[in-house]
Amino acid sequence: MRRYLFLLLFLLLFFFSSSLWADEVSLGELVSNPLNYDQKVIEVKGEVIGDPLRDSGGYWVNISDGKGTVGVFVKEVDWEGKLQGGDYNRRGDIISVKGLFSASCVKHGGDLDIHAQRLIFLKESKPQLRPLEARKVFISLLLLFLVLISLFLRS
Amino acid sequence: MILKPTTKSVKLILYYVGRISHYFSFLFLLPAFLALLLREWNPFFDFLIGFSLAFLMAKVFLRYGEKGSLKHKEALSVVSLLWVVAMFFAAVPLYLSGHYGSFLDACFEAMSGLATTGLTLVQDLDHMAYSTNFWRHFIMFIGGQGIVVAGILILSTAGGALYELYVGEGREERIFPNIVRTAKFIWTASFIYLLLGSSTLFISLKIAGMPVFKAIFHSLCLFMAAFDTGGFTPHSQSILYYHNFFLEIVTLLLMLAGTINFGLHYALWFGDRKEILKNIETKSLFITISLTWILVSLGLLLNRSYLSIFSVYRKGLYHILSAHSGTGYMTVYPSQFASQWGEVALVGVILAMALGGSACSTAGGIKALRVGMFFKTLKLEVKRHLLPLSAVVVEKYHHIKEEILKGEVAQSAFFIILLYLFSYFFGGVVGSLLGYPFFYALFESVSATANVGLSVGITSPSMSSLLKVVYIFQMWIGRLEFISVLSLLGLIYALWRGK
Repeated sequence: MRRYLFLLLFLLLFFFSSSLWADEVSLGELVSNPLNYDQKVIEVKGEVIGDPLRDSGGYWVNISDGKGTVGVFVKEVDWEGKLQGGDYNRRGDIISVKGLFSASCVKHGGDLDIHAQRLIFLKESKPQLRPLEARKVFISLLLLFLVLISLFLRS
Repeated sequence: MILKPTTKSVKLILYYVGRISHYFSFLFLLPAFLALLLREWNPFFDFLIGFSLAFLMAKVFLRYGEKGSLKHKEALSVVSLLWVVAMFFAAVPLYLSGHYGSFLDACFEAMSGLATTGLTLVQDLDHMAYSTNFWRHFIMFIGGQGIVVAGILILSTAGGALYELYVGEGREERIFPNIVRTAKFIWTASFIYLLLGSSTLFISLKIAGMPVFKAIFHSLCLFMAAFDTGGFTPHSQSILYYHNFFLEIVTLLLMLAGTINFGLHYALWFGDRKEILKNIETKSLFITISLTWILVSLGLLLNRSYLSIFSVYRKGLYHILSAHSGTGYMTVYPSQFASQWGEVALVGVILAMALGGSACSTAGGIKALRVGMFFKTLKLEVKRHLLPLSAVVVEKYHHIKEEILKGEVAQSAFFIILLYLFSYFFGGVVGSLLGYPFFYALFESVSATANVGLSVGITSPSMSSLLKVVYIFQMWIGRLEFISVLSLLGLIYALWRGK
């Protein structure tokens, strides 16, 4: 009987404890309806944007899924090194973050953020190829030629 | 009977629009150079296309225009037409960048930048080329200081019309009797603040571990958008991207510096520190900032929006100053305004946006000087009713020097206040007719007309084209303070129906 009670208690804890059960949420949804997830442990996936920024006791990593961008605070002790952020020339690392979401974090002046409990590296950053558009080159050279003609006509 | 403008008038307008556009076209070469330096080839050609189109169009204007001395109404039309022309040119590289859904969206962004509003329709900003992102902020700097103020330094043949051009851009005060010296001072002061402000921002970003190039880029962009009370940021989360309290304080001070009258900057620089205590604008600003901050804080407390009192004051003050100065920097997400702040706090923000900053600054809105005059006139009227009919009642105010409140000055201030209120309401009604709740539509409309840039989330690439056009019009008319735009519209009507 005691064994079954322990099993029941374990199952109850597993399903109802927010620290164990994490909802997977899109960042767009998180940013649009923050109060629905306030003080809940959630799981999000996204591309690292820009550079990780140092703050007292840890680092800030901004992640985006194209619909929303949210700051994730990673404690210094959990920080495992560099993450490559995305910009014009690169797609940043794709990571999955499980952590406590706050619509207004008391520790960080009321900011909307996630305090990471677990950070999983999913996909490595890669260069973003931007092939030169021949149409643009042609149009700009044609227009520059007209500019030169206008200068010549004036002189 | 409406008199048709003479051909000479139209040619004069074309000439000056062409002349200033000609110089404006060279501005494209700065981001083009940056693109070249960073090997951003597609943006490099985008800027070359922008430069060539602006240059050639300016040549066409000059070809059909005629040099001469401008009169008041022509000068006003030059300014408002110039801003539309500048919007189209500035939108070209933005549209070609592929970060905008349509050319209308790019025009919206360009007008928002030039008018220092900060509302944005950009998509995937976090992957935008550095040179294109720089251009967004650079047009904000140019627009904030004034395209015409820049043009005045170059133009020498506009004769007595230099002052008319200057006034047309929403500025009325001369810091010096000579308008060219005034324009020079505005640009010199701005460059000194640029050095101070961007260096401080650079230090805070470097301490946070940002690489040198990016720290320089971000600090320059943040400075241009804060001091020029614009509100664009290099990343999509606005100031929330940085999670940096020190940077918040620096941007707060820059927004404050941007909202102060350049005449007051001059007085402070040259030792007249008492001016800040006596000036009607600083008094008016101090009172309205305090009152709206109290209102927002009360709203946030009643709504239990934040768990700590420090967060209430921090978020409240930042957004009140951002709204009052017309900057539009945010440390909350637009959806949080709607879901988390509550209506009392939003009323405080709407009031702060509507009232605006100082005249002869880069801030928008009704302006502190007019608010001060409004209350001085009320005081005068109350005095008149209380004192005997034979009493001569005079009301004075201090603005750089002692002035007597004259009837025509008060009337002009009241007229502009009414136009602002009408525009705020008009945008709110249009937004409401398009399906948005009136309160939120009013918030967005005030933000557009007062050139602020705070948003409750209505402004997005998916909003209707009609609303985009209405907001572009509001940003334009709000930046130029109505008279220039009304003058241009009057001229167009007279060309059509005049005899």
